[in-house]
Amino acid sequence: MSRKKDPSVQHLRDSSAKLDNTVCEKDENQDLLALKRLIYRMPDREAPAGLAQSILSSLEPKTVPGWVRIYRWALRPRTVTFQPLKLVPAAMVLLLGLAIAFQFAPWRKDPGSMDPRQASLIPVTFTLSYPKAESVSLIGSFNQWNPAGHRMRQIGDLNTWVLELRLPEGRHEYAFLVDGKMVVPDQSSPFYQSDGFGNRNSVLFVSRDEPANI
Amino acid sequence: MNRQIFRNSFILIVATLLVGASLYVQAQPAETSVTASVREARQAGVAETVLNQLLILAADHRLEDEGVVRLVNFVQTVQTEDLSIGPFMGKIEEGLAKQIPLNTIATVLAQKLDDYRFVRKVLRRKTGEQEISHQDLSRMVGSLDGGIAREELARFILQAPGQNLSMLARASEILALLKQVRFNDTLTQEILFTGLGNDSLNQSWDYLARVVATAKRRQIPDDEIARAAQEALEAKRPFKDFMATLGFTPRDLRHGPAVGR
Repeated sequence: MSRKKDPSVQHLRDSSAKLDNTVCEKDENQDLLALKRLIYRMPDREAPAGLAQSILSSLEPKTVPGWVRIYRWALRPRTVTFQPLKLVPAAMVLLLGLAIAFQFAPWRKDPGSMDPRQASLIPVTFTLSYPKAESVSLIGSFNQWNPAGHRMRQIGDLNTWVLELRLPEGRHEYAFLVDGKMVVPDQSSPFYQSDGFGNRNSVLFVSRDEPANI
Repeated sequence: MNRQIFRNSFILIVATLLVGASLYVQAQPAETSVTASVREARQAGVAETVLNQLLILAADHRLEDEGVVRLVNFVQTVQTEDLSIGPFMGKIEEGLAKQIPLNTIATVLAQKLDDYRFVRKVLRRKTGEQEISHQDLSRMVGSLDGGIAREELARFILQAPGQNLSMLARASEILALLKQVRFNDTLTQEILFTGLGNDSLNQSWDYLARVVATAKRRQIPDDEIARAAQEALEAKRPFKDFMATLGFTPRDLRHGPAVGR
């Protein structure tokens, strides 16, 4: 849509051009006076409808996404000043909060309690007297015959090897692995089972039921 | 002339292609015997966990491919015979932990499989089509490792009163254990048959052999032990009563590894 040129404005422009041409020749004050006169002579007209609205709308600030504002806020440099002594109450409150949270945390266990699975196991102490051994491990059906993690420790006169374990109820087969290669049955166990490989495994009965806890 | 050149070129190209194709086929990595045996075992229904466990064991003990294939094939056989793989895996683990040569392990596994077949056959004769649980079958086979001959176990199973396989499995286990502590064979059979006949040889009697071993150490005569056990079993009294009749406390009976202390 082309706007019709206002003749007065056109006239003003022409005058202005003329003034430009003569600015070097005439006195500056005189030019200004001439311009002033021209402006005074301009007809007093109403502004076109909607002009104010269009100007205001063009002046409205653009909406910026939230993350951009946050980003700009984060980039803006700041200066922080603090007095250490004034931080003490805040630190105290924070420590108190942490202590309470730790006390009632769901993962925290009562020191006297035990994992239910562990609690259902029964402690068993294995001993072997084998003076010449360099190392002794306990292998059995309860640890898939894997000596790793079931190394026995020497006590007393260093001839006796001991290991304490927690085992589930039932019947277990076991043997001692001396120096990582020799399979030795438990001489203190009256029961045994042939392992088919030429050795004997000892048989152990574990029961929580006190009368049968033999 | 041109035609001949064209023909020779064609033959040369075809020959080149054939040689190239054969070289390509040879260069492809062939499926290893282990992979093939694992695939077959998987198709036969062997659980993935069992196969993984076996392969981990093989890696841990640095078994050669031939040995791994042998074990995988064996496990597959056990699966196809609808037996529990657990005891056999246990035996493999045990053999490897004890550094037994793989050939010996394989022989022992085959022997064990044969024991399972034997006991299952005997049980079929006794119970017909009654379902046999893996656990009961394993316990009965275990009694063979406890020192009972096959014939003796078969005779015991066939002569035993009652049809409760769980109690029968317990009885065969006790039979082997009492033999180890040299308890009178006849009295053993009488005790066990009393329990089976009265359907009273329940789980608490799993510890009978330990009580008998301790009673014998305290020089209580076999017939006195047998009488106390039979009376308790006939009256279906708790195992504790039997122990009390012999005058035992748990502390008296502790022997071997210290349990519960």
